[in-house]
Amino acid sequence: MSEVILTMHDIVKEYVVGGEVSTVLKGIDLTVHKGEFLAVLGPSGSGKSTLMNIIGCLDVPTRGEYVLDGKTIKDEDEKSLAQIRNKEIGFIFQSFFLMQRQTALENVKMPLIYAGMSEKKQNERAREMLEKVGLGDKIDYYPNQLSGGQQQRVAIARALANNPAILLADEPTGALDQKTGKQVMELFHELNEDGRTIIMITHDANIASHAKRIVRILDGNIGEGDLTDA
Amino acid sequence: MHSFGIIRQSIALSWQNIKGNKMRTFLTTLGIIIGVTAVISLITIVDGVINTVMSEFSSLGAGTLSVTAYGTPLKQGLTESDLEEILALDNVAGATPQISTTASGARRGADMVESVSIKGISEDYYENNPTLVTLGRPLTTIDIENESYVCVIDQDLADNLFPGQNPIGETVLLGGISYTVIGLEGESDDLMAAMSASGSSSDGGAKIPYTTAKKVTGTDKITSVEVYVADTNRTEQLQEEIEGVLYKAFNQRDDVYYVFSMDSLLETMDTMMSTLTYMLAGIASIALLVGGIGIMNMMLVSVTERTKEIGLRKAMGATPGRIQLQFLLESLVLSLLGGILGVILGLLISLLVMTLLEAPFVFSGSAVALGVGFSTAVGLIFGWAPAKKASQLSPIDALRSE
Repeated sequence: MSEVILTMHDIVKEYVVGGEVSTVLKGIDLTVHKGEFLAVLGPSGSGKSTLMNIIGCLDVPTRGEYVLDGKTIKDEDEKSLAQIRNKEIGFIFQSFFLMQRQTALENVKMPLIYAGMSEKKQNERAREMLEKVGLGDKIDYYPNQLSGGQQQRVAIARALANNPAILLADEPTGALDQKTGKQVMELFHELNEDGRTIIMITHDANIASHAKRIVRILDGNIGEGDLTDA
Repeated sequence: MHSFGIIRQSIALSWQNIKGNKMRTFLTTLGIIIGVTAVISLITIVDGVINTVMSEFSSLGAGTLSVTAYGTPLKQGLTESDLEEILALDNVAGATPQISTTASGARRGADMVESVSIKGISEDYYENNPTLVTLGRPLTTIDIENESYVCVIDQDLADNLFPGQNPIGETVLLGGISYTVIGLEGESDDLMAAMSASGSSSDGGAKIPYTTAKKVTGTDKITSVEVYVADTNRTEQLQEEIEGVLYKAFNQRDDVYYVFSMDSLLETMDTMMSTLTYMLAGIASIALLVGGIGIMNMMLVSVTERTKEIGLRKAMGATPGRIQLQFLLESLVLSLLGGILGVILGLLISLLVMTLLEAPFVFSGSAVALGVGFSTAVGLIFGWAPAKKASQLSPIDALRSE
């Protein structure tokens, strides 16, 4: 099989709430290879958001080992975590999270700005990404001039901008109707066929079924499994 | 190069946010605008007024020492021998005694005017104020030696006694004695003369030879001596020397005479005025402080409102430093915007006031620098805490906030 892009070994995440320790992730083992399209399927409260935060380097595990693209993610300082997120992770959110006062192009430029790219290159790259998601003719549109599906495409273009190791999508179709949701999934397929590694977090088994591989998370434990009782 | 690009894009973004909230931006910067306007206009106006007053004072006063004495029972005032001793001092360009008296005056055959201030002086007075006589001739050594009954009258007296006529060669009666008018003093820009004229509320003034004045008043007493200093860099030294002469002359008493230097008055005034300026500027800067608090308040609101944006930016790879820079620049742009508007407004107001006062408007670069500097400082100081707060938000909490 191809090269490993992400390994998690015995990942535990504990929170202390009101003096009591609550364990949200109870020893997660996960390996993802380059070019995979993985869905993490689980109901709300299963710990999947916490898992996503850790995969996305927004949070660090209490215990366990997490290696992303050859780098061990430990309790690094905020600055290095930010730089890892910038380079390695392309986030896609349920509610798109676009800056309403900025054009599609400006939105896609955001991660490029933080990568320290020159402005000329930022513009070229952002335009290229928007063309890739089929919005080459809408680069100067503001989010409120775009449909929900188009907005999510802008968000995907933004996630791809820095050519990250992983595209990390959190309920990417949650705010879309079925038809546009399906179109977004088709785009995911295309991207995956181009070799892009995608990890998608969802509670929706139908959406998860678009992925090539599904892992289920329930009550802080993970397991490869079928879709029936998710 | 790189950090320049970062700052440029951050400023562009700040501008976007500021533009997006025009009303709020205006209200927030209003405090800074008012503060800077007040500081700039106060400093410029007070500076301009001081400059005008000072130049008027120094046109009269630079290099003049005025000696007066109250006298003791033994020696009732300044005498001619005191004058001679003063004249013999080094660094004295000249000195004129002044014998002041008041008389009613009349043009022969015309109505009287009530009060004419008469000053007996020597030729040194006109030698050291060469532009004073605009018509006719000044008093000369010959007039003094001959104790002549001639006078130089001022514009007020000329207007009162010879309205619309040339007074030269005419005869006036001053205190019942007739004098020939030999000269006319022009409208005086001599502030001291103008002040003494208005102070004595006279209908005008006339200058006569002091020798004549002695004869007319029947005393030897000299009211005061004006000493003209040759080298104004050593005015203070001369002042001390004159005081030494008087100390001896008045039998070793130092409380019965006074040597008044315009320079020291100017210095005192200058100090007083600058103190006043800084006090006013200090009061005005309270407005700046309030403005700064306004900016801090708005930035805190902005951080709260944009928690999600901060989360997103952090997810996209913005380091805490970048977030802090972003918010700090935003606060800086806000306060600088207010500062620049305040400078423009302040200069316009000063220009208007100075025009109304008919005084020259002096553009004060330091006032502008002060205004811009103050607002920059306010932006940085009051933007710091909100920016720090923004930078420390956890990306997870920030993204989750609804």
